Amino acid sequence: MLGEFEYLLLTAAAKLGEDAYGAAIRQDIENVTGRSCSIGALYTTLDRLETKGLIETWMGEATPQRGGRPKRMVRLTGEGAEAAADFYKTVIAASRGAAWAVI
Amino acid sequence: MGSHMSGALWWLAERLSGSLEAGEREAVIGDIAESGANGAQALRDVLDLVVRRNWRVWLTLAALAGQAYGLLIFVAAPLRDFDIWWKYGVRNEDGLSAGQDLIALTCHCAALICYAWTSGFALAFFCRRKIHVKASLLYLIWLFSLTARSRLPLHSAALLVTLEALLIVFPSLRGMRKGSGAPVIGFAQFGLLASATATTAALAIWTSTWFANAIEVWSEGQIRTEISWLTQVLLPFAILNWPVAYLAMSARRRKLQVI
Repeated sequence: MLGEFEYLLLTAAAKLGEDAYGAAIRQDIENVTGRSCSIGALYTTLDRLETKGLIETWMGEATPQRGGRPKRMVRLTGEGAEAAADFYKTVIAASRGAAWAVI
Repeated sequence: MGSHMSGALWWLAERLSGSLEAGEREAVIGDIAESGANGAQALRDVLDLVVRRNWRVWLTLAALAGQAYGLLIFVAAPLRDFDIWWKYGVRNEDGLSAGQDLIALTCHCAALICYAWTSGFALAFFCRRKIHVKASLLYLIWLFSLTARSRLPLHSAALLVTLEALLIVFPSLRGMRKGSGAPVIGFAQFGLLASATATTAALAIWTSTWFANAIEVWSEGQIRTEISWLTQVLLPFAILNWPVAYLAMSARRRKLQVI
């Protein structure tokens, strides 16, 4: 079972597709949750997810607005997509009947 | 470099990021730069990641520092006597024979060597990244502890360096070399290590009680010294043996193969 932050990260990476990398994922999580996302939490979680085989990462291109530094690109694996889907189904099932559930 | 990536705090953040691995360092600094963070935010972000990455190392080093200081107080008596003999060529007449002095010194040195080896092994095994930085910090801690002159008044700088090299640096380096390779240690080797550590610790503790008894005899009963089981027996024994015990307990969880 994924943790909440792991799910947010996987979902952000899935939405961003080919453009998924550290700063973009961080921005997406902050937009969705309305809370700040620390670099420390982001990178340690990326490592954990990669160790579990739920994502793949590699070094991408450098851009001027990054001070010429490369990006750490992120891609979901099949297992990552399955784990995120399982988490989503569990949350939906667990929420059914609750006052705040919209489904 | 972006115009916002300047100033003392940005410079500090970049220096601090040097403790991360090269690829990660570049990606992290790039992400922070892209977010338009100022120097204070950059420093906070990098510090957060460095602490998360290395918290086990800092805890380990803090624990080793405390232990080093405690152990050196524990071995202070035989080392102090050796230091007096080294400097002045005379024996400290504390009521022990020369043979007893030699046995006590040997036992204490053997216990330190075993402890240094297992500490180095455990440090390398549990904190693989940037091991040279951690090793340097460990030696600084040992050196600082060894030069705590208020408790261990060593007179000779040459003796200090020799002692540190023989009793701590070389065994610790050997342990680190073993611990940073494949996480495999032979069952017989592990048993030998555990036995050696426990035996040398017990002998060192036993011989350390000689000094207390000798002072009582030397003062013709004027100075009464009672051995504290907690601080003079159990605590030193636990400290000297914890790296081996920790390795044994963590073997399965950390995939240390005891074969």
